[in-house]
Amino acid sequence: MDVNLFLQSIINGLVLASVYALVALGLTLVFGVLDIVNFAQGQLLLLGAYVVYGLSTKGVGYWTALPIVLVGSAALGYGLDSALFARVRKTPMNGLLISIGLIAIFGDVVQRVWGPDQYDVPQPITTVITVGSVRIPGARLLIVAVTILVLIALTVFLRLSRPGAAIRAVAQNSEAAALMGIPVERYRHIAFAVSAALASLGGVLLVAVFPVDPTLSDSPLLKGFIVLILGGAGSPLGAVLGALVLGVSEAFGIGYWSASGTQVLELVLLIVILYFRPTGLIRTAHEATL
Amino acid sequence: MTNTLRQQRGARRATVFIALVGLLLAACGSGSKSASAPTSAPTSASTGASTVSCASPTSIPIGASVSETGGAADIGQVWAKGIQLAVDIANKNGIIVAGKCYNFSLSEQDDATSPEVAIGIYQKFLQNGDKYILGPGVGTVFTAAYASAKGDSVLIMTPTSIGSVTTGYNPLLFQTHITDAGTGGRVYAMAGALAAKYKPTSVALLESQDPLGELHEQGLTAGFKNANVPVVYAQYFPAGTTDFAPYIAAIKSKNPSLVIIGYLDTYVHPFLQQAVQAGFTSPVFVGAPGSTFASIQGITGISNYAVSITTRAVDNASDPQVAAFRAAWTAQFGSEPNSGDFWALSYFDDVLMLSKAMSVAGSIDPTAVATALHSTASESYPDRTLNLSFGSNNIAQYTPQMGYWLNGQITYVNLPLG
Repeated sequence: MDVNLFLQSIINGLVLASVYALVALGLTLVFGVLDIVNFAQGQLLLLGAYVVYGLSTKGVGYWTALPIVLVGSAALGYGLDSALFARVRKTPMNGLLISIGLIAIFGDVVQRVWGPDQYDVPQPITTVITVGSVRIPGARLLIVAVTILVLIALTVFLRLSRPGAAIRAVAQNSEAAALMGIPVERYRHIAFAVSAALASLGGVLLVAVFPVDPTLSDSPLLKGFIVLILGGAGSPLGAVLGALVLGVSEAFGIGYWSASGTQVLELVLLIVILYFRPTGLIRTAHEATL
Repeated sequence: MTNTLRQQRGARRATVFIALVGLLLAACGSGSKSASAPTSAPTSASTGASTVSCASPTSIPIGASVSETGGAADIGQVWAKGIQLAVDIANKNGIIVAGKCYNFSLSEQDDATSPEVAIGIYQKFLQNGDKYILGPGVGTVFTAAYASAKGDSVLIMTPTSIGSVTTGYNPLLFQTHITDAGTGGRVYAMAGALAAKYKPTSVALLESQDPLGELHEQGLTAGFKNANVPVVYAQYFPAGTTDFAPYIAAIKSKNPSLVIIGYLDTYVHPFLQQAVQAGFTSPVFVGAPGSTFASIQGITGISNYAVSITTRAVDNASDPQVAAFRAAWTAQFGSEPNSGDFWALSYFDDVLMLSKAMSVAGSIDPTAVATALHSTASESYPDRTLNLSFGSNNIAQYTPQMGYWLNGQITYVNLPLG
């Protein structure tokens, strides 16, 4: 066995898993709290990526752009939920349709502002770590490290903070939460804002490695939905586990087999999980959800 | 857990599943970012001396379905400029047909690189009574739109490289690109040229997972086999791929001396970027037909890169055949054409040849004009950019070129066809 290919596949798998996990975490948060499958999550990711690029052309550095994008996208998410999704709360299907409409709107905005071209953002980290003949670009490690930090922060937020407990309460039973005096709508807006920030964070991290173009979010979004099913909708830990399974198997599948074969394998895995474990890999009990 | 909760959970799972299926279907539908191919020849002005007044010309509607957004947007935007430039030149000169002056009335629609959108655009053109349609130029998009127009007496011009393969010969279909398929095709010839130029010990092929990518891979594999160069890696990547690191790791483990990636700049550029990051810079890298030198711009560490020019390099100031086009382009857009603007010729020459063919035919009837387009000897188009020859099924075609990049210096060479 080629040891270098094996080790490189592990690294590549972790990077893929991190990208998928970031998208899936945002999806699962919105789904857990609002019962909405937000198709526009990919567009929020794309918007984050393009804003970083746009700021870089104005001389704003990557690390300065990062908090600007996160705060801006959180505000956008809060606004979208209060202005649009809150109005169709009782009919989740309408929320789904709104999210599809947002894809068209954001897509058109991106198209009109930045056009179809591909752009490079100056890499924030150019260091390459070499272990034997395995090379690990620092920017890829950044994606993995930030995803781990986000998972820890999200877990602490949901488990140990009062707003996090409130969000979990809303996710589990919004009527009971309201009876306990929790301002349900406000926490729904906050959940959507956090989800939007996670999506844009994904975009910010992606541009550290990949060029920006209108298709940047297509694959991560599709895989994010698969991860959502694999891990269990509404379970952050499940999202991360699902992303790991998908990312690592994809890297090894492409490295040792073929991409098209790996795609088939992923969908077979999805069917198997849906058949034998329809609640997902993690979501076996109520407590395991948000 | 109560029954109500279980039902809610079930409904939520069903919603997610339906959403996923919808997304998968959407991905399948919009999938391939294919490329397409080139076309015909430029010219500057002349439509023949005439004393006919063009003060109030009669309009000839022309519909154009161009991929200005979507997967092939980077090519489509250049196509759009080529069409507009040619229409402006033709209208400025006036189109003299049987003693009467005409001009083109262009209706350009963005097909978003989507077969479904292109079909809708075609139907709109047909309902408007348009007799001339340009595009789409992307093979997979063109095939669908073209099929929807069967039976209509409309002259269609496209630079797609797979149109003739999928549609067969139609006198009302004017293609100006040599096919990519078969041992007489461009891709096969490209493999031979690369083998002769770089003398690789082994080759890796990574193509987009769609009909054009498969066509490329078949042609390249056959071409390298004929040149006795082993292909040690041949795989496809799905449309929308941005992370090529797993592919690069697999290719690197095979240690090829030449790597071909297809076939759009939006794929090749990130691939090259990530190859440099992975320390994989020693092979000769080649962009499959569809990609340009824009792929390697801003990338340092790779010495040898090559692309196939589907029409004619228009950034080559020393080529007299493109001088008229370069002058017209610069006058219209304010800057000289760059290495990727050769795509503009795909339609630029078509439109100018169309205006000339109308004069030759003495009619604006599509059948008569098509006959003139297909049968007129090359001397009828003295001011076009390139000399066209006609293939076995009477399809006009350019002689393609290869562009070889060595540490920033580009050399263009005509590609000898079998």
